Amino acid sequence: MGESVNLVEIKGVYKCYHEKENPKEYAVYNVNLNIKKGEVLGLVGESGCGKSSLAKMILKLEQPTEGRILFNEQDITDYSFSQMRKIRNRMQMVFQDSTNAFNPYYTVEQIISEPLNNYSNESEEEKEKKIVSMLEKVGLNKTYLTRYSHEMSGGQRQRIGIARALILHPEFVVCDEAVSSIDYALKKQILNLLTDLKQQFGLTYLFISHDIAAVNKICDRVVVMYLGNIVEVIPHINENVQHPYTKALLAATLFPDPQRRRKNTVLFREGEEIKIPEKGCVFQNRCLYAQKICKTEQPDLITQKSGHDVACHLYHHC
Amino acid sequence: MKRNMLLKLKKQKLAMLGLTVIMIFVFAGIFAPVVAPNNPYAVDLTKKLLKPCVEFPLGTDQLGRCILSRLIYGIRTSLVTAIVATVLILTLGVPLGMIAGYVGGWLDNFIMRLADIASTFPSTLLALAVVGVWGPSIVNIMLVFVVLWWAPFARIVRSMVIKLKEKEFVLAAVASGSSRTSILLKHISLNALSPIIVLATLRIAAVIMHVAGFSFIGLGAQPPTADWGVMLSDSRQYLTSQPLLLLWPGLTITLAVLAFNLFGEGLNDVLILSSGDMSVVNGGDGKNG
Amino acid sequence: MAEQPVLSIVNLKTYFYLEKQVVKAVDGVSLDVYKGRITALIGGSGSGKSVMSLSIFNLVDKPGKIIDGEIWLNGVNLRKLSEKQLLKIRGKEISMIFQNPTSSLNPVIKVKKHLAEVIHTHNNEIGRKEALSMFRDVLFRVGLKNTDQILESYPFELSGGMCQRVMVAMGLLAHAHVLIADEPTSSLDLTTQAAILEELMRLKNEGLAVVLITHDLGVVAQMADDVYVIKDGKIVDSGTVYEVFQSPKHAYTKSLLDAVF
Repeated sequence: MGESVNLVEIKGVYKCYHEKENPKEYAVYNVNLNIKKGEVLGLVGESGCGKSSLAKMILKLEQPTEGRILFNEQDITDYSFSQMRKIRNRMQMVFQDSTNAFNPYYTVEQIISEPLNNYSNESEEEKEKKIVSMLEKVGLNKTYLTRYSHEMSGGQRQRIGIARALILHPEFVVCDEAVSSIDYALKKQILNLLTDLKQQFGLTYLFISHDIAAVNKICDRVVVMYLGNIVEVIPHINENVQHPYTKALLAATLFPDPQRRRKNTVLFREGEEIKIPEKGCVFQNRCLYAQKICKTEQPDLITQKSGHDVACHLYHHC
Repeated sequence: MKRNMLLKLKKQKLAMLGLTVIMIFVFAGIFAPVVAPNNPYAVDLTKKLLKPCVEFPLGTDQLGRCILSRLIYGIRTSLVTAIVATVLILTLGVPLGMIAGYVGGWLDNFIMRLADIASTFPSTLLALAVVGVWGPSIVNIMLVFVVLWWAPFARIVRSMVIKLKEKEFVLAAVASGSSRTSILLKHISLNALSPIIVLATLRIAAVIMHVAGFSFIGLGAQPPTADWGVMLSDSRQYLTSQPLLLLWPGLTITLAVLAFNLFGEGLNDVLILSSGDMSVVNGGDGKNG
Repeated sequence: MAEQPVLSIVNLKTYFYLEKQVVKAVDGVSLDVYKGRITALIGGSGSGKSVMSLSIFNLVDKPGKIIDGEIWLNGVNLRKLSEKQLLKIRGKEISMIFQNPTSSLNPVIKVKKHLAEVIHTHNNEIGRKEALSMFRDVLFRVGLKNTDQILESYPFELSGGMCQRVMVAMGLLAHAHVLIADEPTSSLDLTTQAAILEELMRLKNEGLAVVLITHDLGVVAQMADDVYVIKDGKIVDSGTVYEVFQSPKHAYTKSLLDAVF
């Protein structure tokens, strides 16, 4: 379908929250990533891996300590608050459903109309029509307009979050753990909704999740992060994964099938403190296959074959 | 949301009692000329130190003035001072706290150091200094409190703002393209203000008490002003002969302070309860509702 | 399974009396838990599963009330015991771990003291040295290595996974026969979850009876021996894990299984 344009480019981005500490601890370390227009990129990792920080930096909700962020080939790294305001309608985020995703004093109508009011010059009736139409698209209806967030269930709140993110018809949407805190049945529904809306509006997604099944279902490509570094990039998380951490993640995934019970495999070295080592590979402390070189040199992210990159010394000598 | 909270507030019996008493005080204060049985300033030495009777429901003081009338007129000085002082404290403390919290950096540090100085400065010393330079008066004492008591408000607002800044709905507002002012006003203020409302109510009570205290030692209102603290002070001489002179203003101060405290505490409970989760009752596990 | 269940719930009913309605959170639930087996209770939000675990411990507060049913623990009907008698049983014969481990532990009390509280509630005569050695043992049993350091730590200094292990340790220390785990791993990372579940598996093999309350079918499929499906306060399906997954009897169970991808 012709050459794919990179909608988002992340070049050499680092994020350090406590810059005065020595040695510095990076929440995000040397991340290089391109998100193609129209793709669904998955971002997988556990707490502390830096995925939320990365997502916020793409939207400039946080400032990178180092590196550049490009959106639609524009370098937005140094954009001021007001410069960003001009383009925020093109990039949106569905936040993780928590009690803090919405202003507790706001009704659904206020929640969804906030972005609309910032960018649209239409009349009140037209705006209201748009809002109701979006509510219907996410499977709700106009009776929800007067409700408050604490009056709705987790699944309903999640859908309001999606409605809020899409009301401006952005090009790029970050879904941060958008299906993490809901039941199975709803999860499936929402994933289907996200895919439908992607077709309808021609969206590009960054889908952040720790749910490997969900990620495999809707993503074109998956990036795996550990303690701020990208350790692997692969089309799907399956038996082809190479990095020891990704292997451990896969092994730790619980399949809802009692016939496929995981044998007692040891995933990695237990009981070790999860800390960013001063030098060498970021996974060395827990890796079952750590060699001498892993403790001194950080492995680069190297392409094994098309679409599959791994950052691990084990595979760098092939 | 607000209707829900009002309903809950009505259920707090003690708080409603406090509010009723406050309303009575306010009413009596506003309509003092009508409510008070006598002229609070009418001196009549032939009628001094009378016990309660029909003409003087609470008796008279050492100059023959009607105690009840003086107490009622005293509402004006006490309540007005307390409310004005609290409003000024809020006007000073809340914006400073918000700026400190939202902007951060050196401005935050500067404002917080000012707050530290204000909190630790001895109030009596400052009151004496102010009175020494500008003379004793209720307005001067009130200013002393404003200058010293804005600090806790600023601190609380600041810590609420710092917490709120990182909350997802604030980030969502930024992502929605809202301006910083709009975020500060609509998202942060609304949510930072609930502890402030309670604190302000309690602060009114504290001002009433402290102003009375300073008037008692002669640094605030001056005789012949009908002021509760002044009345307390006057009554000292007659403690053994006519203890009622002490009782009435003392009781009134206590009642006023108690009323505001009860109301403030009730508000506090309501605001905290409102942000709670009734999920266990509905059979959910809190997470999914 | 000719043996007696170590925990048996018979027709339990817990209702909540609200202003305008009565919510029947648990409406006639019966289930049996056996030694050395993991019994899973699956339900979505609002199904009543959490209220069930609170009911077992008689921790249901107004406006909720247990209005009917029996709770048999090792041959004793818990519902007939006084609060004083229940205090002796809670934490000793039957123990519970909750969803959010860091907030289940008192943040200003060291781990050492948490563990000490467990044994003092039930046995006042253990000397300090002996107690410390017991603590180290039990922490080791739940997979924690630097036991001395952990004993001296505060809960907020530990990760979620470590806190959860401490909670399991507290249950073991009291020699509980039954451990009720209410969504024990849903707030934990995948890899930590795997470790905790493995721990529970090991303990089950040593004879502990585990009640696993969750909405996660993956956890159930990998861990459970017996399964009960709860919806709107009632048990709609039950059996061994293979039976329920392969031939679900109730439409709700079927819909749960269908939703999995």
